[in-house]
Amino acid sequence: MTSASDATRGFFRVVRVLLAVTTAAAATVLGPVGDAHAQELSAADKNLIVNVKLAGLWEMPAGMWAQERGKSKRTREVGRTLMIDHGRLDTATHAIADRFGLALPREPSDQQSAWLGEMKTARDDSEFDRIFANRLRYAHGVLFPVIAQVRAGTRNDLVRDYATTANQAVLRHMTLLESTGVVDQSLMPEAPVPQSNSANAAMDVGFGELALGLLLAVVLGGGLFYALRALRGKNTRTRERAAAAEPEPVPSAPGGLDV
Amino acid sequence: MNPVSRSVIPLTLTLAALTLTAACTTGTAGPNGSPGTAPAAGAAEIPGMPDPAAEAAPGVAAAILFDLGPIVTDTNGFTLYRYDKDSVNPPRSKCTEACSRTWIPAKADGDLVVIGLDRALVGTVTRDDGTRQLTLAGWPLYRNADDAMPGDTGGQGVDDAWFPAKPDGTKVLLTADTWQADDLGI
Repeated sequence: MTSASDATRGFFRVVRVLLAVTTAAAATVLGPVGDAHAQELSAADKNLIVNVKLAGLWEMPAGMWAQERGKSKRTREVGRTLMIDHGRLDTATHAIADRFGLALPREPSDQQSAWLGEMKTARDDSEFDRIFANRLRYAHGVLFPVIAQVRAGTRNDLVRDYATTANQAVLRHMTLLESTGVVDQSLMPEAPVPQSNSANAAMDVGFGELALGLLLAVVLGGGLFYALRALRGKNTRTRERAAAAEPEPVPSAPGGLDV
Repeated sequence: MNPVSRSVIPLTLTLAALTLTAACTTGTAGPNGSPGTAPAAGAAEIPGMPDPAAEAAPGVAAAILFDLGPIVTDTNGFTLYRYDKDSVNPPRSKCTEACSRTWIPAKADGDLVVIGLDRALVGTVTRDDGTRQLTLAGWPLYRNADDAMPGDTGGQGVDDAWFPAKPDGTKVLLTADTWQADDLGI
């Protein structure tokens, strides 16, 4: 076992050197990034803030009408809750837009105005309940992943807090709207088909810098080659003994989860 | 798989992970805090919404905010506050003159609308100027003139004495800055 532990010690020395080199390289390449972008809004950040504002512009009046006109007691309660929550969100939206000098829309979009028109011209109060719940639930379903992606990936600390707030509110609103019992889930936006191996692909995102990727490939590849050579030379006997004692590794079952 | 590659692979992975960690933790400086309470455009700016200056039908309604939990609002959805310096038994408002222009007494004339809270807790008190004001569990209720939107709680904690009322008449102490920590168990 002496030769094996010598080899391990030697390997750790190699690892320490490699670690020092790559850490220094990473710090040099990525060092100033955080400070430079923290004060700005990305296009995705702006898109989120504008869309939350747009949501408020039609969902607040919609909620108020539901509170007044809703046929079921539940619809009236949900309408009132949505109006008040969107009032709070709107205040937070203006606070963050003012902070970064972002202009906000003052009118709902054409589609949102059309949805309000549908509610106004509903033939009776039960049709009103259905239009209210389904149109608002649909709109929340479109907004929800927009919020989630910004919450997960924004570089801006204020936007991250804002997205946490919006996420909480919109998740609650979808659930409240469904509690009216008249939401038809088959009309809602469907979850996208997952890309194959998307979890692994996502892990690569951190290596966006081509230079860093190349540097790491060279350093890791070279280091691994060197380490393997050094270990193989010193460790032949141990390896043979161990190989004789150990059972063959179990091959992965065909058709199993191979991710 | 032989012992050499079995020891090399985890070490290589560890090395890669450490490199990634080093890359990710560089530069975390930036502005801290949560969305504040800068003035909003206000409900009056939104087509179809009630003007905050317009008088709400007299009454109170319970609401549950997505962040602060249960509160009491007027019939237009604007937050109703209570004042620590008021008396409860018997009810009496200490907010008069200039104070009552910022903190507008909730009107109590005519039939009262009570939505979602215990009607027995809702009462009225006659103010010094002879007008009647709504009370909840004995506490006179007010709207904040600076609240521009339904559900705004911008008056919370002013003078350490003004707080949104809960449906049982107690104070809302959770704030827009603290709810995330409370809610997410941080």
